[in-house]
Amino acid sequence: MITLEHDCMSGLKNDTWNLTAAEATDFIATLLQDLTVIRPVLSIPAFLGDRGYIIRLSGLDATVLGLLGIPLEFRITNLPLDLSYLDLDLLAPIAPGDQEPATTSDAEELPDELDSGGGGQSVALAKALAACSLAYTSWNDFSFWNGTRQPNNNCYCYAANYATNDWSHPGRKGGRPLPYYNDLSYRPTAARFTDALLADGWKTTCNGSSLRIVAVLGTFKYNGTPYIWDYHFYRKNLNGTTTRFCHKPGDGPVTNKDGSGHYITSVSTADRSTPIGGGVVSDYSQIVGTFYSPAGSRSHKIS
Amino acid sequence: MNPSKTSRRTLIFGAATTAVAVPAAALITPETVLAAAAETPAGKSRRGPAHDWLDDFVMKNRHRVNRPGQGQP
Repeated sequence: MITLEHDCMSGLKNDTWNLTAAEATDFIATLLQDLTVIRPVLSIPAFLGDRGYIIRLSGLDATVLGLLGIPLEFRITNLPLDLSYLDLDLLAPIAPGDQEPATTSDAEELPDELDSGGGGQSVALAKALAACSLAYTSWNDFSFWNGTRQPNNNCYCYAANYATNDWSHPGRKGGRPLPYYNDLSYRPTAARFTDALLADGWKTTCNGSSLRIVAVLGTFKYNGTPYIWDYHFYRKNLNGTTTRFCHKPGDGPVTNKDGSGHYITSVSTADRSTPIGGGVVSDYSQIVGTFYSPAGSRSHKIS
Repeated sequence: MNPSKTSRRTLIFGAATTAVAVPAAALITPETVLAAAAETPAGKSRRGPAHDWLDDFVMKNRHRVNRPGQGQP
């Protein structure tokens, strides 16, 4: 049996397929033409978009390919090799609800995402934010996440600074989950996504020390036609006085850079669109909004 | 190249192994993965036929995707 997982989602879990015997034979013959594309599963670039495929072998396929030294699971990707995982502590003990230590906090300024699209909200927001300060975690040390916790925490876990170690989705905690799971045609509106976040306890204004996150919705398009959606989150941190939004693309490592390799000073201007093979593009183009954890929280429970 | 491994691959897969570029038995070690990656010019991505096969498969088989276990109520 061969199972393939397309590692391209950030919020939602990746899709998987079980190959038929004929498909498996065809795939193996193709794979054997060039084995240099094989990578360790944990060699995942910090990348929002297509991170390749994870192949898992079992039964006779595992036995036969195992004779060749091919591991039971491996990654196939065309992205540059990333072996930074070799430096991580992959045996560190973890527990649900762990949170990354806070670093600093400071007074909040006007969120640029809302300022650019919120029109008349700006004045009201500025007043509300006068009493706001933000809690930050490190902008460049992601060792808390990029190790044992990496594969089982998604972008929502990182945004909330709450390691569920079981993935997590907006609305699940608050009883307003999004009904997308077996319906490829479903697309949530920004209002419905906001509804799920508010149910989980997130706030649209800040009046105390809080995490500040930005939610975006994305669409995967095949030759221009949308066929599946996803969501993603960014969380604001600081490098000195300079904004550094950080994010965790799916099962990949946390990063402070966008799809073009630039530090993220504003989500609205960050590169959030990446090409995928076969005419597919993932584009997290829709900014849902800026949200805050409840006052006084440096970690927001989402499960 | 490990001759014994090469022979074993040929025995099992016959002609399908003729295009194998590196010893498969070594791929799971960091050193040999690095060596394989070093064949790719700096800054360039590498795309083999297996990746193309997977892209094509996924696009043609979206209707039979597995989406269980999303952890939703």
